[in-house]
Amino acid sequence: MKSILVALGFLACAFANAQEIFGDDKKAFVLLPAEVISSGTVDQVEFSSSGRYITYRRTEPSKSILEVVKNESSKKSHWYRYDRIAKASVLIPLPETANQVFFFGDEQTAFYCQGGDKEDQGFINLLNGATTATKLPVESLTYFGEMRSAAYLMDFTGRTLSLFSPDGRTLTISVPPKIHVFSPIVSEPGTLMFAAFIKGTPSQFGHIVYKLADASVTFVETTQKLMREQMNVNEKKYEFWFEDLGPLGYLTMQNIPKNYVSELPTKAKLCMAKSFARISPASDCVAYMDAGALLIRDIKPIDAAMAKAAAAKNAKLKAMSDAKMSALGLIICASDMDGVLPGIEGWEAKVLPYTLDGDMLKNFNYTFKGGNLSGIDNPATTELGFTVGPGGRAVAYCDGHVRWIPNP
Amino acid sequence: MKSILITLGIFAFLSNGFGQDLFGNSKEAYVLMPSRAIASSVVRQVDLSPSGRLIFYRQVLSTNLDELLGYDSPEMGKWFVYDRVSMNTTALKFPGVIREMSPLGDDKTVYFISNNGEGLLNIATGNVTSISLAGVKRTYFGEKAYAPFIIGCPNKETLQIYYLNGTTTSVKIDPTITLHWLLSGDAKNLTFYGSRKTNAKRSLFTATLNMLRMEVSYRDYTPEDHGEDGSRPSFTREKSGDMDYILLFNQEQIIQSQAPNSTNVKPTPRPPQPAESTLIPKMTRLGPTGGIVTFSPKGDYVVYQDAGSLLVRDIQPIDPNAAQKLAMNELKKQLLHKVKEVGLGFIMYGGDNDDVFPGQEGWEDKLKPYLRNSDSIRDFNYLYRGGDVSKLDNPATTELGFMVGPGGRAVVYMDGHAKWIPNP
Repeated sequence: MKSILVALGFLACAFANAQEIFGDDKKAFVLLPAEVISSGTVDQVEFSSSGRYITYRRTEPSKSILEVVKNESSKKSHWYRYDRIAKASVLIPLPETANQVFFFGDEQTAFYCQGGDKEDQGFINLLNGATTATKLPVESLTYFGEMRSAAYLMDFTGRTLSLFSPDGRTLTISVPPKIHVFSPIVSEPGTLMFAAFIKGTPSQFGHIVYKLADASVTFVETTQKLMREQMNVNEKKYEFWFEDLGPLGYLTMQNIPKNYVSELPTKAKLCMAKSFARISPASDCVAYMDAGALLIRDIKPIDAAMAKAAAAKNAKLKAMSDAKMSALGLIICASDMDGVLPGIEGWEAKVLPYTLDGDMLKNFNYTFKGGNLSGIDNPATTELGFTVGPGGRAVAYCDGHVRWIPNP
Repeated sequence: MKSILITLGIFAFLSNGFGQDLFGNSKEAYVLMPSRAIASSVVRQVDLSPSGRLIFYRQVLSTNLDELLGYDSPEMGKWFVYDRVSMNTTALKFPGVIREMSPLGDDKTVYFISNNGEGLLNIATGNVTSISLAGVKRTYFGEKAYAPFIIGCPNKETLQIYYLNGTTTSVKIDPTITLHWLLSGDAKNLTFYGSRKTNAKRSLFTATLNMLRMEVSYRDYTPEDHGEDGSRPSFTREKSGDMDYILLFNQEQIIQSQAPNSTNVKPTPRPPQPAESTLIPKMTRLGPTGGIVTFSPKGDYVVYQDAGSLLVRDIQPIDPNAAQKLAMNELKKQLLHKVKEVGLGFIMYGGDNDDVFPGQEGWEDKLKPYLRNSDSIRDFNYLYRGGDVSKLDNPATTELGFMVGPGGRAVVYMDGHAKWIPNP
């Protein structure tokens, strides 16, 4: 059954969690409503180096519930790339056999392979779909594609450092004896720099600098401290992080001082726990999963004072909507009881089936003591009850309308 | 920098645990399937057609922060209709502002209240038929796919049928009876749930309208009238903290809440129910609270919101015995995972302590720094007496410890591998 009352009142309240404001004393952000990128089942997601693209792997969910429950999927998955500017996803035309893909920082190329197999691997140009087959030793390869101009795969064998580039070129660097390379730290069009140390004396840190123009290799000594600083330059600095608090995951401000009390919530609820979320490099977007579907939410910095005002406004709107829903629950309950409103005793249990939100009813102060609704002379001015909000009360009247009454 | 092989490991299948999407009890079990996206933000209103085939929604596309943070009004946005069969979305053809709507049972017509009045809208053609329900106290829309009309009670004595072509028919009903809701129906009969108040006593009735003869007949209400024909809701949402869960609908709850204190209908005494022993979770997580959650009339899907976007998850029934088995496997898997983690903790402890494992005394505290989740050791039975493990003859067959599970034990061995050993 659906009475007109239900149709009018119960469906009109969906804005509550479409956006959330969070922050600390210095910064404030608004987590905007979600945009749908893909239906389920998506299982791998990554932002590109600039944050413009989101690459994801999608499998059509199986129609068989047993397969879904067992987390099995017999069907082939496909990789897609979503462009945040064009707001569209494009299929990446990978060969059927590819089951692993590594996207490079140039946002134009990727490397695909089938596990450790030397066959069925190669580079793909994401702009035109052209592939170049390779036969690289996948097991010893290292990927450092996240740096913008570092579209390389690296293989370090003996004293030779090989860099495989998507254009088919291989750069070979002879590493001076006794020097051990352990991490690329700078990748610029003309220069590559790797962190290194002299073998046998791990305190002797240094950099290997490779100039592409003349293929020169130099070793520059440095201290551990300086090297660490240099490596930290490449670490992405996020304003917030994904905090898994079970049963929900939240976006939480970084570096909140202990015992800090903010007028703003320091975290915003995002998705179910054990789900996963990726924050864009510029901290302006978060991609996350909802039961296999992929969604993104933009994150906009806003003025802290405006945020506080908006948070108070949101709390007020929520109190108003809660008061309205509680009142409508009571009125519909009464209309099923020959127009008699429930008494104060156990009213929550009686109204619960009509609202299905116990928390909301608990916060509603039912001031009308029960009785026949049709016997009220002025339902529009007779108070049914109220919900307390910031700086006032959302008062619901016997005709179902709600007014905000500020505290005196 | 990452090695390609390590990267392969990191990208292991990530999901929010499809195993947990199983719910129900020992008699009825369901699987909540992966999600299908219907519309991006912000969807403000949702309504389903009585058959569940059509999903109507009002979407506000805005990049204006003030607008997104502000209050909603029916003027904002546009109405769309998503067809679950063709999987297509189309904009609703309507020139004005729809304030409220209610789809009828034919999957073609919508009753609307607009800024210019009310009427019936044919969603395929956009044709509008005027209709007036002003002053009608109660309205029943076509809950059934075969009831493409509106039933109203303009007064206590009359039941009025509003047909799609604008004509109406009235039937007299017993004025002492108040009709509450439509219980069940087909093309010939519609049965309502109602009550009568006499001498401060209330008795519950059902009223059946014969659509061919336009006659109403009455009989006493029995709890069985709540029907298994799909007219009752199957599922419900429960809010707990910041999370919405879905679970099987508790019919008793709503009947009890509505049954007056004094009634001449005594509920049939139910045999005492034995305590349920099932591993199937009673409820399953749907997502953060706050958005719309609507179950399809047939109970075969749920429409819900994630931060203003609209998504659908199918709900498929599954044989409870099969579900029990799956839930058991899931539990076994979790236990094996836990004992393996504890085993790994011991091996790491050994690595830091010259291969000497802790003795039985106070091993928990010694192990805690090596565990990601120290809860895992609570139910762990540590069997090894402690001491040097480097000279063990058969680490792969020597039990390090175990956890008890349904019908067996999850055992971890001295080499760190774990195995499920059923009870003899």
